[in-house]
Amino acid sequence: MSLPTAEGRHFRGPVFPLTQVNLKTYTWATGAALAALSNIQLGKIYRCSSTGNGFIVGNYYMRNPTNNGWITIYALGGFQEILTDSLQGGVYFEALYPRKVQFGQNTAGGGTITDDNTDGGVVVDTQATTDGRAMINLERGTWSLDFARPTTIKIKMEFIDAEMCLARVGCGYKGYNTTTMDASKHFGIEIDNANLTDTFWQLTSGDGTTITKVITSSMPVGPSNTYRYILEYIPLQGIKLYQNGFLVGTKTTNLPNSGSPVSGAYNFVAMARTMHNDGKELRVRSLIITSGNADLY
Amino acid sequence: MSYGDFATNAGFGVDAMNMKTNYIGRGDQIAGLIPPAAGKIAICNFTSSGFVKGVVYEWNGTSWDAVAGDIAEMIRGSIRKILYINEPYPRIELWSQSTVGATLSNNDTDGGVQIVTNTTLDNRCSLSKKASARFSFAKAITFLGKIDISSSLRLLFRYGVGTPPANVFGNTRRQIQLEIDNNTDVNKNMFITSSDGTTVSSTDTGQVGTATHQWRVEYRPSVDIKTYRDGTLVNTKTTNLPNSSDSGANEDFTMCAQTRNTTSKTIKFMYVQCAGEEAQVF
Repeated sequence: MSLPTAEGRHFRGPVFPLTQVNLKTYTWATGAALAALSNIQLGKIYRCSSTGNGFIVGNYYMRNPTNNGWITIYALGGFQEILTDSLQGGVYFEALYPRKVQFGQNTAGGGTITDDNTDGGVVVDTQATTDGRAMINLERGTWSLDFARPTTIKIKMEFIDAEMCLARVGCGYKGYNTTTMDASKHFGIEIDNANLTDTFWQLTSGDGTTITKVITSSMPVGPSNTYRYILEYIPLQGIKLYQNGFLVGTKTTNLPNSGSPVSGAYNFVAMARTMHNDGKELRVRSLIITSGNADLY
Repeated sequence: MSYGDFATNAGFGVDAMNMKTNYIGRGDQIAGLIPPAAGKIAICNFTSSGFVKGVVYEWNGTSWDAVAGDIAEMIRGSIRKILYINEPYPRIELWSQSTVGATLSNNDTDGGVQIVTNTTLDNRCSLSKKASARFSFAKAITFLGKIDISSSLRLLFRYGVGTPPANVFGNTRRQIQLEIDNNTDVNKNMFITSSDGTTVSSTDTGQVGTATHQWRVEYRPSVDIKTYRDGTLVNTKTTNLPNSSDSGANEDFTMCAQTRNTTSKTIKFMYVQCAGEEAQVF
């Protein structure tokens, strides 16, 4: 039996072509020798056998995707040596114990944003006035979230009431004054409910031309109300929503696939807006976002 | 024995092949391996004996280190040495602040933080990560900044590791920074500055610092400092590298601005990242 190789080719014995075997295995070389290499195929991995020219003994290296430098694949010296080689590649936003100051904040119509010093996190509260609204956000001026690369949002949150309200959590959304989200590139979960009954989160996405929505089996209001969500976006593949470890929704149409959030939209939004005299609270207990960064560094 | 490139040095011997390839096995099998040469890679396919399924390990000569496959395992294994300033959404509350006459605020339009020097000579503001962690200059350091500078005329601007605050001139402590130190009425480019602890030197990157740009500085001890602007390499500096010791007990990372006339300057810091190695023993 022969198995497909990374290049779609197969080993065919008894004689293996040297160039093929070479690409499939690690090559050991000194730092000086690594620095002198040229015409290296992306994916070929080298182990540094002695420190020199910026290479560290024991670390494994590969050319970066733009072929203008090396990245560390394995680092005996520690994870920080991988970080220093790939810092510009993506974004890791972490608010394990969120405080409101970590976000851009907007309120109107009486809405409030407060730190919750009892249960932890940030409370986005519409308060009990029709059209009361509140939003925490991450402005797109800081980094350019790259829709051409995967993004994952890990969020633990509690939404206490899904009746007659608008709520959104995701990337590329516009603010609470855009009551009907347009087709701008985005993805996330939304509740847009004009009824006095609870409803389910919808997965929504826009590709710049068309916005579509898919209902999930996740109802935010339950016995405990607090759920742990993973919102996973993979360009050209789909969006998946997991709740407490279970897949509760999948969407494959009208994915953003390229570019970044447009003017007026945000890298990240968590917002709520009430449509009647009853308050809605979105309690964000924990948040981590990983994404690509379209800004060149 | 040679572990050389197959194309030029056919090393099909067992030892050579062993070191060029991965070992894949259960945790207890990895634990039971006769110690290989340092650098051997093993991939665990069944959790046991302290090894975790899906994690890639490398033999360091005395023990196995998690090097890939599970970020939590990788971080856990190297947490003593990780030093990572991760502020994709900078906020002033996360920095030590020293302000004389300038206005410091969070920027809720573009995101990030901003310094407005206002219009009095030598008004200034320094934001620092101070007296807690220490960056080792014996190890590689990379820092990124998305920075918008309104004017380079009669401006002191600094952004980097071990960097002295505003209104401090001629300090030779070990440092690496982007800098505009301009006390003239002629525009000045962005410079890259470093000190080996005795001598400070600066090199013109050839690039203006005004308007919004993404900057990347890669320091490799005893090799060079490479400066990139908007993804393009613009300078390689090889003189007066710090090479040893650490960022010390004062400012580990600083971003600052100072006006050197009566014209206000606005500096926006919209994305801050710095990764290196902790010099203190934990």
